[in-house]
Amino acid sequence: MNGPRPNPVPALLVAATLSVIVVRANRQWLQPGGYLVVGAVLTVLILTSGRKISDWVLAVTVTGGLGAALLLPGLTVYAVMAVVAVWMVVRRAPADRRRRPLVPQVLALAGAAAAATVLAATEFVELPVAVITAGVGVALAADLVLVRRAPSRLDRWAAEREQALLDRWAATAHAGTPARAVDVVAPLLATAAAAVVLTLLGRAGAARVVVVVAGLIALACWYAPALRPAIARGAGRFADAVSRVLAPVLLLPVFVLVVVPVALLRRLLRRPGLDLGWRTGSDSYWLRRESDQQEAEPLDTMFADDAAWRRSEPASRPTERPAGAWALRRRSTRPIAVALALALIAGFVATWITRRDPEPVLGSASSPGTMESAAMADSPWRAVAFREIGEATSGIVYTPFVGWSLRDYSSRYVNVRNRVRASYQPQLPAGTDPVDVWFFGGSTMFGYDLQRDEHTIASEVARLAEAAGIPVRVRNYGTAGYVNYQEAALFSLLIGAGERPDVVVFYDGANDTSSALQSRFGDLNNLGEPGDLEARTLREALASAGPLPGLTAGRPSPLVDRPPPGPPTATALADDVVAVYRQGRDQIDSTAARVGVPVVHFWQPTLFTRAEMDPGERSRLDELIPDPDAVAGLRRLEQEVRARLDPDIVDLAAAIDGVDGPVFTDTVHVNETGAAAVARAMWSTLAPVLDARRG
Amino acid sequence: MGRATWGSPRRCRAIVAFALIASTGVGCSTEAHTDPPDREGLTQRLTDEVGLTPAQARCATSKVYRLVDAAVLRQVAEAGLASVPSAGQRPFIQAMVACTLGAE
Repeated sequence: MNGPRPNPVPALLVAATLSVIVVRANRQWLQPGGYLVVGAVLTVLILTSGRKISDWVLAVTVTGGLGAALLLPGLTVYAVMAVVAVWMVVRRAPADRRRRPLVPQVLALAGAAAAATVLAATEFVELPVAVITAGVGVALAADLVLVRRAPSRLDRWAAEREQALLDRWAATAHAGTPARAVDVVAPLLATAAAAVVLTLLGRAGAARVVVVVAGLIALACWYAPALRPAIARGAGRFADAVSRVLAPVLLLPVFVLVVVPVALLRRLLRRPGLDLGWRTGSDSYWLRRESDQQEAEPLDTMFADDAAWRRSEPASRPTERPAGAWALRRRSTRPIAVALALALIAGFVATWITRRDPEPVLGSASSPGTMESAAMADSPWRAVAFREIGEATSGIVYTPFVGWSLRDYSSRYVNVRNRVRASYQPQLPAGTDPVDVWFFGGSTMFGYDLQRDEHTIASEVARLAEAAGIPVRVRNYGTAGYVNYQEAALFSLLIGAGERPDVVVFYDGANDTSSALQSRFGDLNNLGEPGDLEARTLREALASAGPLPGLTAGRPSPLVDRPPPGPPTATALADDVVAVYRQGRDQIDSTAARVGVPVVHFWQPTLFTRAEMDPGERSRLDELIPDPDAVAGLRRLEQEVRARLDPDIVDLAAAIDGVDGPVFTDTVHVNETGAAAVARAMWSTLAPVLDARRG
Repeated sequence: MGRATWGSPRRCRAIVAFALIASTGVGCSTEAHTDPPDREGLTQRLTDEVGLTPAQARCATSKVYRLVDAAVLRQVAEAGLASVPSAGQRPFIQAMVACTLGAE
């Protein structure tokens, strides 16, 4: 047969691109249900429409892919690593001085070569495809062994998204949540939509198969929820193997950043690149040459006619466009567009139906569910304040010696200027010299979850002072995540800048304890040394920044050698918390003594010290820490720490005890009622100090 | 039916169908496509890295197996707890607190 010369590359490229689009789109944008519809409709469309695959698709995809490979760090890394992997296998040299085993590379390369050989030996593919397959295998080997050890920014982003999904999943399906009706109804709706489309396209038999199979699976999952993970895992194993081949090679950005803009531009310029024709009766999708005797045209002159047509004067162009590869056939695009639109609508409807917990705004809340907690139920402003606090605290900036600080921020309920959160300031008679009181602390002093500017602890202390007739001017330096040692550094910086308060107040405990816990169990910082809660995040950010070669995300060397810790105990951890806290407090006291400023240190209350929890708080605790043994352990640690505090540290453990109703929005943050209660508990200590400092 | 050639409808449909069906299946796998690691490996990791006693490590492993996804378990078993972002560490730390401080 002297038909058109077959070319497998376009079909492979288009199929791979579509696959990656579907995979990536499903993973990032659609929930279960959506992907079923989109995938099924796309499949049906392509199987039944008989679309012609244009050489333009090939040209754009190949050039776009090459361009993206040069621009995207991840793809470039893949390419380089593929070469490295080959070199390593050929040379049989160790990857580094630790003599990393070469088995994965050898197996991957051998597997790819075997697959290529098998494929090439059959008539299924030609030699170029076999070569491509081998290349993919090498890239996979590099990906498995090397790239995953040095993830690109894209990989990191994908990993974060994956982690967010995992966390959400762990909080729902894995927590033993029984199947809900929507979990079954949504896939059934999606299946029905696919069946309708199939039927409309004249594939009633396929529609019946889809309905029966999906129905059986859904019913099985409904009556035996234990089957759900098994089915998902089985499908996932197969699909994951495919995605590992496809995803690293052609990524969604190739399509979104290259193909889509080019296609849109061409459409705007009335140069559509696709010839979408319904040719179900044809034996080939490829354009047949007008004469079979015609010699195959070299690639560099293949589009000469089109180019000449474009270069010609518009007035001299023929009114009818040449029947080339790019000629658009509107009758074929309309049903495809309608079907895709229907698929997308169905997917998003399914996504909406199957939605679970909403994403937190900016992800900035200290813990999910704060806004819905019982303690915030009577605060109609909570949604606005939640968003504003999220915006304010997500605008942190790296700051020497203290780690990070807040940028200036202005909104209705949250205002920050010069790292100070706005507070209630009593009206003072003219000529009054107020007592300047600075407040330091973490998110609980800032009023993170959720207090408005004028109802934070600092604001409430100002009100109490006003009521007592003591003129004060307060500054709230509370910053989310700060531990005592960071506050000591900030205080020292302020004094160094020439600022002079009359009284300074430090409110600590929760972050200091959390830091010790994360260091002991999660390797966050060196035990016994001050360290901040964001250390790992900042180290990883630095390590991936690029301009500073050699940086790693690992923990720094300890300041001094310490014996390895024994098995964790509450007493040992409490000793560590207090010892580190004492280092910061000593710095503060020294600085304050140098400038003659009195200091008051408070140790904050937590939900674990609440004498009698409100049912709403109990429910919140169960939600955050479902394991009663963990609650018991944390409560025990709290007790041990408080028992070790120096006598000059004011323990506010009972500050909330007299308050009825829910106060804690999580285990450490309180609502405005709680802030007022803490201020009242502070006042008995602060009143005489402030009174002594008044002019 | 004649022999399928590249560019023929039958061949193109087969390729596209396989790719799409497979990739559609990947959508199913976003939440469960990794086998959990061997419990002993994770237990050993917690013993070596955190200094838990074998009994404490077994207790913590047992707790996190009920709560944490297999992919995260595998990552911790292979690369350590420090390789997991803070949010991912939370259930591990809670489990270890429960099995150490909570069991005193």
